[in-house]
Amino acid sequence: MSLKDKVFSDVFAQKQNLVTGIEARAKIAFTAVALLINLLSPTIYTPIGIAVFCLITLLSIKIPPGLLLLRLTMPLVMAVIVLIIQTFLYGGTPLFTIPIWGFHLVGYAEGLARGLLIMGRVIGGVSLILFLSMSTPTNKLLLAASWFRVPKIFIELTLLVYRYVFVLIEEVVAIRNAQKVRLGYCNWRQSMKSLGILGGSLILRAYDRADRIFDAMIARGYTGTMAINYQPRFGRKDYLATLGLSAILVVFYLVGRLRI
Amino acid sequence: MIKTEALSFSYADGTQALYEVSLEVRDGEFLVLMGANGCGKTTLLKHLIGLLKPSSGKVFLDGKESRFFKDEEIFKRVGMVFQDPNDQLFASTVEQDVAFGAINLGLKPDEVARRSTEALKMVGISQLFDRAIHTLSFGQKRRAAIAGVLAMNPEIILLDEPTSGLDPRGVSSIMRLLRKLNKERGITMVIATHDVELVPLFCDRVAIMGQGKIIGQQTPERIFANTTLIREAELRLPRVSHLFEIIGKEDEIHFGKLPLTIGQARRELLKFYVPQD
Amino acid sequence: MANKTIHRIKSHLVLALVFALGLIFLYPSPAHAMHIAEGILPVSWAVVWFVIAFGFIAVGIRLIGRRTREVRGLMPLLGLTGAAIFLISLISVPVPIPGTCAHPCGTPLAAILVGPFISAVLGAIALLLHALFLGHGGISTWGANIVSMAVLGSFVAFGTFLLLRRFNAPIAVTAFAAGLFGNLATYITTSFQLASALHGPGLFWSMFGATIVAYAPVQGPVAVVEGLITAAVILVVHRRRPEILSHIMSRGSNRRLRTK
Repeated sequence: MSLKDKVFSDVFAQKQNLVTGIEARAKIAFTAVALLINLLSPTIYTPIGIAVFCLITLLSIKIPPGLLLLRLTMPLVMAVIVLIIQTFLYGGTPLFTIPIWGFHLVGYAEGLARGLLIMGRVIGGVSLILFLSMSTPTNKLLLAASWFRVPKIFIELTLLVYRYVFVLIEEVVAIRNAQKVRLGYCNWRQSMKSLGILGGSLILRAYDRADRIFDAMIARGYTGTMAINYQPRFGRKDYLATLGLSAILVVFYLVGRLRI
Repeated sequence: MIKTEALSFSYADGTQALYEVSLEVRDGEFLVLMGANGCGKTTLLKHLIGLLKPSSGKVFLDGKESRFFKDEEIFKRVGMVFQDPNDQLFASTVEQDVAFGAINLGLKPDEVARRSTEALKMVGISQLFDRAIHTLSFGQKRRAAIAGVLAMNPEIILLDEPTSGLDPRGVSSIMRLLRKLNKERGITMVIATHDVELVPLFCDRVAIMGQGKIIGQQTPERIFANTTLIREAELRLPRVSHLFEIIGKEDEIHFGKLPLTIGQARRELLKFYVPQD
Repeated sequence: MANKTIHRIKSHLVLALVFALGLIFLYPSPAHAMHIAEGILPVSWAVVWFVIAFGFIAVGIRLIGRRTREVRGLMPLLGLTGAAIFLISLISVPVPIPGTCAHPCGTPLAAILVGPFISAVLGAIALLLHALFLGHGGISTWGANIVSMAVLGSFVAFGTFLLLRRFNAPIAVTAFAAGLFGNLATYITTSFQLASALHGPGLFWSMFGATIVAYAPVQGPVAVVEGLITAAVILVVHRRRPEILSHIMSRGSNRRLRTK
């Protein structure tokens, strides 16, 4: 997998479909509230419900399952670590023991339950984030954030970072290939040296490019800030979508309160 | 009208980039600034739009010295398309980027929208308006960059190497677009390039630069007739002219004048054609 | 009672050791292993870290706003630097342990280039992009991750750099130490955040210790790598374009201060 494939899977958000069509602000609010419900849920049913909803929605807009799995791996590794730590370190009702080096590791029932709940929240939460980021183009997401009173400078800067990650990545790939074909990565010492030069050149190129961009900006009347104008067109369709999403939130909440 | 008088410039590190450059660009003209890499073309363009201030000498915009204008007043009337469209397209979607300059002019939102739509239509990428910049091809990026300048309705557009990095078809379609903007909208065009093949096809006048000086300015026909000057500037003749030059030297067949384009060459050759019987 | 506690602490240590061994062999790659995943922190702790994080970010944003008025090209410069740092943080650096690789945080480097407060803002942006597009970290844990990586990573690195400059240490050593300690600070803070949120009753310290020990074999080399990369990049920048570093060099060095 090349560096380029690793970065940003929001290509899927550029496509037109029912989910990408939902107003960004509605999706942001939905995700935020759902994340909260996910965290506050006393049982594992809510996280499972959220994960199922998000993953099915994403699969239905043709996001490759492999990509979803890839994005879930890292958080899951941490979740498993937390699960194990919780099982052995939390609670008082012994569930099982593992003899190791003449020592007995005791797994506790409360710990296992709490670990599983946290693991569920991780899966649910990450699914929600994927739901938001894979169905909303980044620029829309950030512009919509300005409606939620996120500071303008932060949004402006994030938009610039997002934009130029794609330009600089070409340069990273070019420099790295040039180093590779001249055996810049044949052993560890050499690799570290090459990576240092790669990082250094990247910073220098970034500074040079910033100068050129600034010239281009002032030539078009830049005065120190970019105008971020997000004209909210919140039509009937958007109200309907918001209503639907709210209903789903209520379901998420109630599912967590089930006593089965 | 924009002009420079004995313009000299040195960068902070001491390298002198321009030596007493005097150049006049008339209204509605299509001028090509031709020269090898590092001859000072970009530096000169940056002076014309006021991004750089002369070390000595003067720049005039419509007879008034540029330094008496506010920067914004110059930017309103003179636009510049930079060599790398990635430097110029810093917003994340086409629409936002094209609107950037128009918004900075202080226009109302509906006027901004109208101008952006029109600019995108002129450069022929209307359908790409909501695309993220990083998903565009290089040629589309260049068109978007031109649209961003057009949306400000400038009288003069400066373009730095507008054909670099494009494939042959991209080159001719960009040049035709620029010619069209020049003819139909009366926008004065100043293009910096070292592509000798396109110059004669499109421009009214050529100014040749070499090592920070203007070493000649003429119509394309006259400038290329002076082959020593062209070579002094580390440029070359268009391929077809070169062929005629060689035929003249090696085979001592002399044509009336040096053709610059395929069409001119054809006419010259037909004069020599004697029909069999 | 005391006996029981001692027993549990012992079992924590054994567990941590088992765990550490397991991590070395099982971890796919310690890529951003220390970003706390979405869903792991309970709401109360998430809020605490958010409040702390936003304090620093607010100062950083205000600083950028003020400096933009003096240096008009600051925004493109920071945007490009942010993009470069983000990419450096995605580069896989080989670690001498066979088969594994690490990712630098990048915030120590950013802190040396643009100062700790602004570096914290750039770090926060990088974390947001990591969370949204790569599934590393999370939204409800964004605050906690900002505090550990963006804030402490920046400030500890910056402090180390200034301190060692005061002793006129060679620039390579200074930058290496800044990277190393910046990264270690991030790792220790994250362990603290995990332990404080997840420990059982009365067992915070042993949980904290267990987390640190469990992650040490992976995070130790990562910190060294961060130091090496920071040193290499700073050396390249210093050699080719010393003026980029002039602000921090004149501030750090004793000799320079005296001549002024």
